[in-house]
Amino acid sequence: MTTTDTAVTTLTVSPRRLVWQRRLDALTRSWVLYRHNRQGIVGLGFMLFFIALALAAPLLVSPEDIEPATAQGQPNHSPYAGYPLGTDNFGRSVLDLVIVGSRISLLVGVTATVVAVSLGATIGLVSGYYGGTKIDVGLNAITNWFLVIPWLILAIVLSSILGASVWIIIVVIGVTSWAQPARLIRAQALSVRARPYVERARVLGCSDRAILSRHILPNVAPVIFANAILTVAVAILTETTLSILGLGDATAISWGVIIEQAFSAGAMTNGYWWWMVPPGIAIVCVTLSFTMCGYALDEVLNPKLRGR
Amino acid sequence: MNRTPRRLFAVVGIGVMLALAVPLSSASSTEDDPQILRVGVPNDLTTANPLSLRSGSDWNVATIQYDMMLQFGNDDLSPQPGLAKECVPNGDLTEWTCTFQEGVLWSDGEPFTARDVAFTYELVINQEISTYAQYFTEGTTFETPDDTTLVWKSKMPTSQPETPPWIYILPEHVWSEYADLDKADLRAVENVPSVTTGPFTLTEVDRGQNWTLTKNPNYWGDEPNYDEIRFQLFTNQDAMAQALMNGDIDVATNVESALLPSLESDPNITVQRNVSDWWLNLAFNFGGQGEDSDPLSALQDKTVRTAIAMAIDKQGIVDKAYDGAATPGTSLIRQVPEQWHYDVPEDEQIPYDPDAANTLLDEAGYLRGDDDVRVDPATGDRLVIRMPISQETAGALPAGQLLVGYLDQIGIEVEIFPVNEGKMYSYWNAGDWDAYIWYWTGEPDPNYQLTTLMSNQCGELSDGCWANADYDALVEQQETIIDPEERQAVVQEALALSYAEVPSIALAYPNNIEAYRNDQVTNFTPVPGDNGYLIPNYNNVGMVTVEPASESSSSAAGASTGMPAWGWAALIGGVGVATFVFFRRRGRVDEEEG
Repeated sequence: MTTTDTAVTTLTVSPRRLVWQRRLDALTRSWVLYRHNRQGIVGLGFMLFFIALALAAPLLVSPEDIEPATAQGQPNHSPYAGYPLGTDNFGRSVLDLVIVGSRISLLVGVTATVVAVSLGATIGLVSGYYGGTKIDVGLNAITNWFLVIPWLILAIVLSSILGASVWIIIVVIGVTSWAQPARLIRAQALSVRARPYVERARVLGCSDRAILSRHILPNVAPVIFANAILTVAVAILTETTLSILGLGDATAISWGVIIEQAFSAGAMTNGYWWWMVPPGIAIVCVTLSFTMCGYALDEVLNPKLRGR
Repeated sequence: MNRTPRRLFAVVGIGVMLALAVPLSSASSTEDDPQILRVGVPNDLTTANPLSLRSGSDWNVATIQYDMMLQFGNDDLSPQPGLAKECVPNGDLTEWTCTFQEGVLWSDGEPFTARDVAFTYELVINQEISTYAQYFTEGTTFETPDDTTLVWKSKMPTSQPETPPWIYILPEHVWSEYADLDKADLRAVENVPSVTTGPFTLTEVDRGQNWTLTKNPNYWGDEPNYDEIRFQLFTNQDAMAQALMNGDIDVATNVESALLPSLESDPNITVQRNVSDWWLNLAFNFGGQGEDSDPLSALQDKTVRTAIAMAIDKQGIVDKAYDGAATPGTSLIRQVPEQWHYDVPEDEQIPYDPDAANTLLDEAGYLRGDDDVRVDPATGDRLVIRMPISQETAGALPAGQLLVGYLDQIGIEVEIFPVNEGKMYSYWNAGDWDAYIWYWTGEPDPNYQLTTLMSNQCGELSDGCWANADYDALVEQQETIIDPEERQAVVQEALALSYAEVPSIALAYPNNIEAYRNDQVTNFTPVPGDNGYLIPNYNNVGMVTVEPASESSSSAAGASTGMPAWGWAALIGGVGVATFVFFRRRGRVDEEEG
């Protein structure tokens, strides 16, 4: 390292570095605010717990124990030694199933959210940026159309036409739940567009694409992020709903599939509560944790909501 | 924030109301003027037209109302006198003379004659009603010299009149006006209210809800004890079981095996298990049907199929997929009727022995690759079986899930695709599968079931276009044999061959489960035999003998075997929280949008 190099870095900071420095500062400020939000911290704790559980599932549960042919437990048994949450009709431990189920439930929740939010963000941004033009009117009409259709019926129709696999469920959830985020992001984009620096950029000759990606997207990003967290909760619930209705992928264990299989094995009538209640509680905890995080983020990022 | 508590109250309120609503369903009234037998069924009545029967409920309703020429016997489904007293063949079996009872009236008071039988059979032949037309050889004609005699003339020897043909006899004076319609229009005739010779007639149908049969005042047999039979549709098995336990229905049919623990623990409920008229089948695809058909070629090898059969723990399927309410399957014909079932001798049985199956495959050169999946030495293909599974067939999905593990032990990978009935047909049609799990159902006579594996049935009845000339010859031979014992020998030879060659594997013969309240109803006549169907599947005798239980104790003991109260509380609480979160989120979004 030469002396001149050191001089340059200490005297003038490169623009890119400056931008990142500023972003880091903003992130730190947000984190400080977030840290003081009790709801947010509790939610985050739960969320991290479930994510860790999902990642660690292969270490906690051996494949033979959740394979119907090789499971060793007694079928349909209430909790007993070695099976703290009882067993299902194949003699598999319900605890193991719930742990393994977290993987598919979270995978579907997160991936479907990525699909929904990227679709919603793209349409919302474009529509907001071109607010009032024909593009906006057209995209808005499409958004409204998807908002108006009862999502459950659309999801049922789509999944029965396309078949039942995890990836198709993800697409179905993505397609049925992008409209809400699109609306929100469009509103945000509309307001950002009106700010003076956007106009300045345009005067300087920036293309639409550059303005969208460099100036509007970064400013809308927090909203997109907070919304995405909330959408995960909705996506997990949607996956559960579809699975319980028998439209899920019965071969991939998710919490919804566990409940559906319990239902069809007469768990309600026979009183196999240990089979139905744990996955239900898991769903409630996960959706609640994502929702709490989403609200907390919302409050951190949206000054209007702060202090309420 | 100040809005939240009110929402919370609302949610809690809804929860409390739900909790209150649960124990509200109580026992119903007992002694009404007309005696009504209330039957719970899980399948809707799709049609009341005997020429287009499809669902189990369609068959139940038609069987209760109509008579065949000769009827199935109560004990062994052998042909017994019904409308016809007897059918006598001539020497070379080309002409059968059937004599009918005198004085039988249709439910509308018109006299029944042999002409009605001839009319029905001619209608079936002319309209090519496929379910029934198989009973008649090419060029069969009928003559009715007088009101009680039918002469059945066939160009070749036939024993079909004594099969007996499972065709319900229709009244000519009602159906003659439809005889010239298109087949589609004929099969769409509604036929409510119906005109029949059986003990009941269908008088009211509320599709998707219930349907009612009323006593036929002109019935030729003994007078039924019930005035009406009312079928109530339950699309949810749990609801049907609860209705039975509460005494809202007297009988429940087609009960899922999963509900047995609850029903069997109720002292007021008697459970009837019988050999179902269908069975669970694993079929292999040999190719030949469908343009895109490209099934796994290793399945052409009998060694591979035998190894698969050896790796399947059929008792495991019975225990885990059917809660024990089934018997392990062997060949094409289940145990009813007994004389056609092939009891595979010990030394011919393909045993459950995964180790031997592994050895078999090792010796045949199917060695395990790096991922533990075996590789076909001839083609280099990994042994991966794409297996669609009929989701609507009871026990098929759990059986498929078990198969994945069973075949994993012998280095064969199975990918299962649980799909609905329509999708199953399109898989079958396209030939785009390696093996599938579906059901087969047939009639008491073995001819139909045997035909399904013949090579000429590729694209018609055959699952996977298996072709075996020896088998074809045996099936053709048994068709022409009149002597029952001689025929039995050939039928069993065909069954033994099809068992040893493994073109498909009968995984299980499930039980059909019916349950009734022994404090409300008694004196059913199960057919066939003591373990037979209570609600008619073969003949309607049971609906005549069934009667209300004498001391009908009105207290339907509400011994709740359901979820404990706190289980309900947890469930309702969970739903409440989820609803709360949902509403709150929606509220937030609205605020932001506004």
